[in-house]
Amino acid sequence: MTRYFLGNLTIEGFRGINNDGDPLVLKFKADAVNSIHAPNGVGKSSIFEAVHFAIYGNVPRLKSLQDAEQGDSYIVNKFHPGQQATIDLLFRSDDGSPDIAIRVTRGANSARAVSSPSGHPQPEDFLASLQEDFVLVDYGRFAKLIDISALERGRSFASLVGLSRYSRLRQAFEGAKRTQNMNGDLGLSALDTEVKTSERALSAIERRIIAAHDAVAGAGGAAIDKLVDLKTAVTSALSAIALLKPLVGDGSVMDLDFEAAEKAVEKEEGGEARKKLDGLTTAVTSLSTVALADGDIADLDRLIGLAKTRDEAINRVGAHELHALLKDALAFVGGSDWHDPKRCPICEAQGEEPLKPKLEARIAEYDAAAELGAELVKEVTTSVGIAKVRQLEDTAAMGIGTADRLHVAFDLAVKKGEVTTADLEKLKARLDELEKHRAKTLERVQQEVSALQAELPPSLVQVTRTLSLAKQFRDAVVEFETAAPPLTVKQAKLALLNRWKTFIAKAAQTFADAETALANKRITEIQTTCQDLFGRLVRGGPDVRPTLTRAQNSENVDLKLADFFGLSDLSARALLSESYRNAVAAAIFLSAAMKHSCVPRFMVLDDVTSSFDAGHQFALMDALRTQLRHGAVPDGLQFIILSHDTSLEKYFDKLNGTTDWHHQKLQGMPPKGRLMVSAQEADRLKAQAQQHLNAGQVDIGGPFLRQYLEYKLGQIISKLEIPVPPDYATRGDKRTLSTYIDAITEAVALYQAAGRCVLSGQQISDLQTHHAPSIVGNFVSHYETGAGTPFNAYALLGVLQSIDNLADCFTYADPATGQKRYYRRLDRR
Amino acid sequence: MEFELDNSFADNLALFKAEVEQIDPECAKILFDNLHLLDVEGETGPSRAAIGEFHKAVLMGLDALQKAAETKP
Repeated sequence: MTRYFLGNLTIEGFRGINNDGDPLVLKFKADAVNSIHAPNGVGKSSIFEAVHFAIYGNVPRLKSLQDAEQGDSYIVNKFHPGQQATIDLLFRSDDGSPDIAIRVTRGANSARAVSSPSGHPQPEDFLASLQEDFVLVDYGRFAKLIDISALERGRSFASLVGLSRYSRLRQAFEGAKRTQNMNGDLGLSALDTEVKTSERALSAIERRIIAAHDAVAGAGGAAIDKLVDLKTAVTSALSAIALLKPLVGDGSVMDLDFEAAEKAVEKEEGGEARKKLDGLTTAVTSLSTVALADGDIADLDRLIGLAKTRDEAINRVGAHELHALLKDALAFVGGSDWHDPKRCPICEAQGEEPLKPKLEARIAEYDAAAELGAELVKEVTTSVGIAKVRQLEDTAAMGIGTADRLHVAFDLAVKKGEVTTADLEKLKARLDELEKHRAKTLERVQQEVSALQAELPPSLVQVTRTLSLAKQFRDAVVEFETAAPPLTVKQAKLALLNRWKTFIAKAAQTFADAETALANKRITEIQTTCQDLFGRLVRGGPDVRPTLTRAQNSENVDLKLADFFGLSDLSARALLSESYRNAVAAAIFLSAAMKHSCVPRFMVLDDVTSSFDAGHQFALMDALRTQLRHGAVPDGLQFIILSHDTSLEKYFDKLNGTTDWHHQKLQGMPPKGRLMVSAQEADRLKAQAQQHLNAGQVDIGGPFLRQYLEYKLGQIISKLEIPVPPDYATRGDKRTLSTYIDAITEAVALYQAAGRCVLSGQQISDLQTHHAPSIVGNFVSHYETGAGTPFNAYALLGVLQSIDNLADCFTYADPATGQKRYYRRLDRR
Repeated sequence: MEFELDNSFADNLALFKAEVEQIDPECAKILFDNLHLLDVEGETGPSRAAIGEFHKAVLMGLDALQKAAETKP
């Protein structure tokens, strides 16, 4: 895969960088550590944010602001006349593929736009391919890796080692298989309840069909799956009765005109007694059908158990009003008006931990109790025990008036979600009473039937009874044939949903297992590098051997210390100082980044050494330069370090210009003025001085000339390591132009006297007799003392030329390139 | 099944696909036809809304499966 270094970065109108019409241009070397130093407030963070905005489309600091603060309105520099931010990035490939230029712009009132001046067909996708966790790292990222939870660390780690897609997909599968999500999205739970209720109803109809069939046809062992045979048997039984045969004819019991049949019987031998017998026969059947079944009482006991569990949960969490109070407190603490997350908004007590997680935990307890209540309501809806109470109370033969039916009020309460334990206990007692009442009523009705049957002619008694049962058979079959087909469809759908549920659970587990194993392989792969690097960073201190461990059944990654003064397996988060914690984080980030083979091959580090002491800082820089840098090792990365640290700056200055290191120093006055790399600034100072002096504007051009002279003299001192008095190094007020020139000319004189000066005789002569006296006489002495005649433009233009001539005295022509290069020291090239 | 360290994500996903096809080929097809709804770029896993979209697609896939089963002779 082609990987890319960051070659150039050009910024204008973004955050603290105004640079109207004259953008900040930063150039980076692929095979060197690139450092950028700037004092605080000069715009270093704007550079980091510019790269972040280009790649991710946002600025984290602005994104975290409250909506009312309108974070996005701070993306474009407030003083940029065009009110447009422009970020140009040039990415250089590591395999000779063409470079990719990307331009990201954003107007004050327009959205971010991405284009590619080099013609990349999908610049947005290219930027998205750079979204790896190791690419942009600031101090916060380092600190966070250690201090976040094991799960967050696991996910962050997955991203670090290039497994973020696996982690995301694992989370996605977990979301897809979550029961709550499946119930909500696929309607699984609702369909399950619907099917169970319908099955129960159909089962009751089946029992009625079988009971009526057995009574009419006199046969046992009937099965509902042979419904045609049952119809035939009942039809045959009716046809066998001479009185009914003509009415049945060639048809079936399903087509029989029962009204006509009843009239025929009535006509044969009518009267009130027959009608009463008919009614009593129906009552016997219905009372027999609603007899208490096994499990009805047990079902109510189960519901009472659930209700008690729910009651206990509610009692544990306290009054409903407290729930509301906690919710209000959470909304307040999470709002913009409350700025101290550890202070209670009600009693103003100051805690040690943030209040929000505690409130959320308490509210979660309420929610859990509420969930138990909802679960109970759901269970009540499908309860067979309660359904039996309903059936018994509604059965006409039981003779219970509507006002006395306990289930009516109960059903109403259920609809409102109000199911009490006491109500359920009442229903249980009621069921017991109803069963006794049913048994007694059935016995009474059967006695009445017997008495009536004794009064009526035996043949007609039997015919009336048979006809009544046949009608019940017909009605039940009609109900069955209406209800069965839709139930079959629902059952098929439920089976399919359950099949999916089983599948996605297995698939999610398979993926999770494989992802865990892969993460462990990757951890094993970087563990040694990470521990070696950490040992190197904290050289001289205890090597605690930080060890990453991935949990078996989750994405949690624990960070333990393998050797803490002889103790093992201890928490890194609990024991390590801030500096050590960040050294661990640095070791993990850098080891992980080195194992990547994704598109970005660069790492931007923004002030990551803030908590390091000088020793750790230099150890980290040395590790980057010698152990991790592209050019030093085959899989090395390009590093871009942003720092405001003054001791590091000396280190950067020392290494600058070597093949390993490329250092740039920022100067400027953001957010209104320009921000420049100092080398570019020198050219610009000279150009400004020339422009104003040529226009005769001595008052404006003079200060530019002075700054240019100061820069060039400082450059000579730095490049040739010219010794300076200690107070020059430590006191800014001693750094006058005179002390600069004195230090340089005295050092040259010293080396010349020792016969070791690398400057040619001509260069020494030009320096001592022409350029230095010219600059001092025509400019420095006047500028520092204010004495003598005022400057004129021509004289100052001459001084400008003398400055360059003086600088040339310390250079030689490189034989390879023909370009001027500074001598390395006064005694060596 | 194990993911290989040197494999690309696509190659490991192919291993996973082969594995879940052994569990249930028809459900595996529905999953992979709609995997793009779950495999979304971002700093975290898919949102609840994205899971909802995925389940909508799954429902359509299952409906099609049911209809195909009903029309089978």
